Order: sequence, then C-alpha cells, then structure tokens
Amino acid sequence: MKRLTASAAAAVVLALSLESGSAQQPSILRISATRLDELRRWDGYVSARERAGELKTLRVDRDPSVPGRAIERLQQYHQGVPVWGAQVVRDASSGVAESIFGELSASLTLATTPALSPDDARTRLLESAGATLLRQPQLIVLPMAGGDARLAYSGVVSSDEGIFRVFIDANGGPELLRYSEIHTQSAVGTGVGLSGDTKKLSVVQQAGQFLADDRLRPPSLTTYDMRADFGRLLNLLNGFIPFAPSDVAADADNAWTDVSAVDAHAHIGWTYDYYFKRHGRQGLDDRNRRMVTLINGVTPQGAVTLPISSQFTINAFWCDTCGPGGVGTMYFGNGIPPNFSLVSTGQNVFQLAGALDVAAHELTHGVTSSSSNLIYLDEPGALNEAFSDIIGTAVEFYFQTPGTGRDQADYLIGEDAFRAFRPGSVNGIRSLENPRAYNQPDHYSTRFTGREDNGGVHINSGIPNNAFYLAIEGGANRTSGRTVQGVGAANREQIEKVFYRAFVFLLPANATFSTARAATIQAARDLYGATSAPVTAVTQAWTAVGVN
Amino acid sequence: MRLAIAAAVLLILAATAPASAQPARRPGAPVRAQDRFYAGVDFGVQSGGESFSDAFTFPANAETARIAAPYETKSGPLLGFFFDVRVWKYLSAGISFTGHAPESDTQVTGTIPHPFFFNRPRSLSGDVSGLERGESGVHFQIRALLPVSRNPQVSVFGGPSFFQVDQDLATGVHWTETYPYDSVSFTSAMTETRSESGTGFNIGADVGYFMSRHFGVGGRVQYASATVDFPSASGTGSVQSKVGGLQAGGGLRVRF
Repeated sequence: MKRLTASAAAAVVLALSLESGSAQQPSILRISATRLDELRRWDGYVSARERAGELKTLRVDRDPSVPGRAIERLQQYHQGVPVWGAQVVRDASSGVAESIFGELSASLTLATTPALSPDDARTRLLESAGATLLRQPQLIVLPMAGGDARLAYSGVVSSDEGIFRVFIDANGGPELLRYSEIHTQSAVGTGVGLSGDTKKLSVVQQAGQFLADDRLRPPSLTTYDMRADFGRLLNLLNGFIPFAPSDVAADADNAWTDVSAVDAHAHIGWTYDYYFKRHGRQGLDDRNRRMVTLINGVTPQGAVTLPISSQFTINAFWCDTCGPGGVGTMYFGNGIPPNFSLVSTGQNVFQLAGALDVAAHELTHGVTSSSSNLIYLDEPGALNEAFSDIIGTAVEFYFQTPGTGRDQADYLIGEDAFRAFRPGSVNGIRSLENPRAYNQPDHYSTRFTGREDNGGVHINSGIPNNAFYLAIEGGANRTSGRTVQGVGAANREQIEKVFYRAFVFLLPANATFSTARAATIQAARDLYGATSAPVTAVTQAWTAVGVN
Repeated sequence: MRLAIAAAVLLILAATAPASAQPARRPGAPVRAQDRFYAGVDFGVQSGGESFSDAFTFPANAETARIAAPYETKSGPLLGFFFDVRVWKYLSAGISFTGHAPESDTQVTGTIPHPFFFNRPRSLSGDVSGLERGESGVHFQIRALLPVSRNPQVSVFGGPSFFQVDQDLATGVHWTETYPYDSVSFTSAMTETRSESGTGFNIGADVGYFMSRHFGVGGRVQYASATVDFPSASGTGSVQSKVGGLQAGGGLRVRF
C-alpha cells in the first residue's frame, strides 16, 4: 500500500513538473518543499526514487541546534553512476519530513558504459593537465549547461598552474569542464619569533603557498613584506600604488622563519584579541577596520649602509592615513645589525615587531585615532603616547608571564627589541615603573615644557604611565614620595578597564593631564562604584604624580 | 539485563514443559534417542554490557587533536537457528547460527588545539548515536541429549564459535567554533564500519517440547564468546572487543 502510494505520488509529482515546465522536457527537477502539501508530494517522490535505486543516502547529519532532526543527504544515480552534484536534502523529525530541497537531473537516458577504461581516463587526465593526479578518476554523469548530460570521468589534477578538478568525456571526447579546486583556505602556520619562541600564525593557503593574511579573526589582518624594496615601501605608504598580491608576506611550507613576518603577524593578532576579550572592542575602530602591517622596508644591514631615516629602521609607527586609499598602516623596522649599537643609548636594536608591547603600542595609536583622537602635541600628545604604552604593557601581561626575561611581561617598553649592548646600557626604551631611569619625568612638576618631540609627547608620557603603574602595583612615586594603595597585580584588569574607558570614550581630543585624571576617576566610579578600590587607587596615583 | 534473560529462559522452559502435556511413558523406562535430526529456529535476546574504547588523534591547528570514544555493546534482539545430526547414541553434532544487530551510542571526548596559541586545548564532547554493530556467529556444537525425558527433550551442548563482527567506530569529529575560538561545539562524528572476525567458544542448553511426533517448540540459552581486534580509528594499533555474550531465545523445533 505504501509503495503504491509513493509511486502514485511520484507520478503526480512528475506530472506536475512536466506541467509547470515549458513545452520542452524539463532537464532539471528543482525541489523546494516546506509546506505540508509539498512535503507529502516530494517525500513520496524521494522515497520512490530511493526504492528504485536512483537516490542513495550519502550521509545523515544531526544539527545540534535543532535537536531531534535527522538531515539526510541523498545522491542521485543514473543506472548506478552518480550524477555530479545532483542531491536531495531531506530534514526529518521522527521520520516526518520538515523540509526537502534538491536539484535532480530528470529524464536521463544516456548509456553508462564508458568507452574509456579508468586507466585510459587516468592517462587522459594527466595528458590534459600535466603533473600529478591527486584523486583517481571517477565515472560520473555530468549535467551540462543547456540541459544535456554526458558520461564523464572526473579527477583532481595538480600542475604548476594550480589544482583543478577536470572532467573528460568517458567516451573519448574532449575535456568537458575544469575548475580550480583551490579554495582560499584558512590555515594555521607556525613561526619562530625574535626570541626563538614558536608562535602560531593565522594564514591562508593559496596557490601552493601560505600568505600572512588572517581570515580567522573578524577583521582583515594582513602583513605585507616589502622585501627591502624601500622605494616600494614609500610608494605604498604614500598611497601612490596599490598593494599587489605578491606584497603579502609568504612562506612555502607554513613553517615561517622571517622573524618580522612571524612576530608582526602574531602580535597584531594578539593585540586584536586583547582588545576583544578584555574590552569587547572590535579592532581599530570597533567596527573591524582593516589592519595593515608593513615589514622589511629595510634590512638591518641597510640601516647602517643606506641613507635611510631611522624612522624606518629603529622605529615602528602607525600612520592613520598612509597606504593605498588611506587605509592606515603599521610599520615595523628591522633594527640594526647585531654587532652595532646606538650611539645615544648603547643599545642593539632587533626587529621591532618582535616586541609585543611595541606592536600593541602601534595598534593602539590606531585605536586612539578612531576614538578620542588625542591631538599629537603637548599634553594630549603625551596622553596619546601614554595610552599606547599602557595598552602595550597590558597586552604583555595578558599573554606573557611576569618576569624580566625575553617574552616576559614587565613595565618596560620595547625591552625585547632594544637590548643592552654597551656596558651601562639598559633594555627597553621607557619604563612605566621608573620613568626617570629612561630620562622621562615621573611627576608633573618636572614635566618637559620645550617644543621638541611635539612638546615632549614621548617624554611627558612618563607621568600618566607612572600613574597607571602606581594604580595597579601601588607604592611611592619617586619624586613626590606619595604612596598609593594599588589594586594589586591580580586586579590589574580593573585599572586597564578604567584607563581604556577614559582614554577611548571620555577624553576629548585636546585633553590635558588634569582632564585625564578626572576622566579616569569617573571611569572607575562608573565601572566599580564611587567608594571602590579602583577609584581610590586611581585618585591616589594621579595625586602621587602631581596631577590634580 | 542478565536477570531479564534468565527470567525469559525460565518462562520459555516453563512454557515448554507443562506437566499435563507429558506423553505417556512408563515410570522407569529408559529414554531412547530415536531421532537422527534435530533443528530449530529461535528468536530471543543477547546480553550487552561489554565495553571497549578507541582513541585517535589528528593534526589540527599545528598541534594534535586527541579524541577518545568509549563503546558499550547493548543487549538486543537475537535470531538463531540450528541443525543437529545424531552421531552416536545421545550425542549429536551440529551447527548453529546467530545474528545480533543492536544500535549503540558513544560519547566522544577530547581536545582540539587552539588556532592562535600553543598549549591551550579546547575541550570537545558529544554524543554519537545510531552506531551499528552486527554480530554473526557460527557455532559448531556437540550436543548431548540428557536421558531424562523424551518430552520435554533436554540437551546440553558446547563447541567452538566463529564470529564475524561489523562495528561502526567514530573516526573523526566535526565541530563549530567562532572567534575568539576559546571553545568548540561538537556537531557530528564521522564513522566507519570496521569488520573483523574472531574465534571463541559456546556452551548452552536446549529444551524442546513436542506436540507431535516431529514438531514442537523449544528454548535455548547459550553463552558464546570470542574476542576480536578492530583496526583502531587512529590508523595504528587495534581495539579489542568481546563478542557474543549470553544468548537466550525460543522458537520452533523439528526432529525426524
């Protein structure tokens, strides 16, 4: 009875299909059934085709988001040969169809005995595309554009031009179809960074190589390798030329060895992660603005032999309007050769991207540009710099264990790239804990008031930097001697959130240190209450550094 | 479950041996083995409860994902039939066949490496249902008819057993994850059917009650067991599983 019913239903369905088509015999049977009457018809049809051996279950999936459903995927066969891509998907609850979708080839009549043997097909596939056969030829029925269908062999062939699925006529005719099997595919690579540590890299696999293009994180995050072509670097920064696909940092085996590529790509990704996990922020502009990083503009040797500004060698920077179309770029210099040292500090300088706090610092300039946009001059400029140092330090403590060695979290800035070389020199370029050790003021009374360095943006940043440090760790300011009851290292998240809220959301572009004090105290109140420990710590910290 | 099987056997025995149905036999008269052939077909159950586990790894995110899949055989319906030939006095040689195909579940558990960081594995756990296991047994048996009664006819038997087992094993997992990828959600498992055979033994008893000269009903309980080694989903090594178990059933009997 059931069989008769199903057959009758199938006959009705076919009749309906024929009626609904044009005068020509329909070649494609499209199934899209969600209503009860449609489901009754098509379920009967599918069941009838199953019994006839024309549809066979490929697999049954269960979607955990809709418990109790079984999603059956059926493949169409013609005389025992699979019809390429012709499938029906039936979603059923306790055996009762809830939806059916599919596209089948109708009215197939072609014979399924091929003139070519599988060995012949193998030979033909290799002749056609060269190189290697990655997947053995399979006899299939290939629906063609225009409603025709051909008996074909399908195989996957790799050649210098790429990886292709190729279809050849199983009766000795020409190649029928080919398409690239290369899907841009996210991959996870590994690379060795500046400190000899192995990191994971989110990359894509494309055309037989791996590219430093992160598709796993929400924004586009790409690292471009200038390959020591300084002219190209300048042209790209100036927006004179667009990026070429070949500009993307690449590696053949996904075991990356270029320190700058490894660390820049990984550290920028980590900084994005820090912002997302700690503050719920989605990248530079909180809307996942594209993140572009440039590396290898100059080799370390070039830094001492070429007439190139130190801006591009022992420096890293964020430029909000640089790059093609003003996309905004980060750039990381490669430092100087290992046997050289800076005259001014006696330090050797390695790849700047190798310092996590430096990478986070530069990215944070992009965050500031997209939020408070603190003017890069005088006190607002020093706040701008300080916020980058603060987040650089916060990112270190988020991902690294506290300590004084390489790749360990501390209150120094750039200590992994700027290394003591000559006797008496130190690691790093600034300290939040002891700004005075790096010729920065740690108290408002000793602030720099000259015009150099945009009014001392990299100098006076020591004052808010020290306030941040004291609010967490507590202790006394070295100049005022005033002590602070910090929230403690275990609660550093509180002070990070206070400074983030104040610097990103509350500060105006021309904020002074005094405004920053008021904004951070208000942020602490907003987040933790007026009588909370963070409010006390932040208030005492600003007072200790002489900002009222 | 074993209790239920035992109860079923007792019921069968009780049903096949009503005192009022005893054919006339002089007290003290010896029971003679008269029939050359004895055959039957039974429907019953096979016990479950045997457990085994598999584990496999695969590369993921530049590290190694590790998955464990414990399995437990389930009790389920059993179909069996046998055929004996009397070879000497009360002794028969025979062969019996059993088939048992329960579905089973497993809960895969394991860890999937994080895509961004080393040594931050994410836990994965999920139920895999509808795994099939098919056990086909061929049992060679020497049967001894107990000379206690011609009706019901009671016999014991034993001998070697050969099992063919088809077992669905989880060989891979699918999961979903979203940024920041600190957790994964299991969606489904890939499964493959592994087929292996094993040799063991069987021992049991059969009771037949005949309503006529040739036809009757009966029950049989046997314990048949073997051990098979399936290729592990890991691609190396094997997974050892016990096959068979306590089997009990009842059905038709014929002798001639």
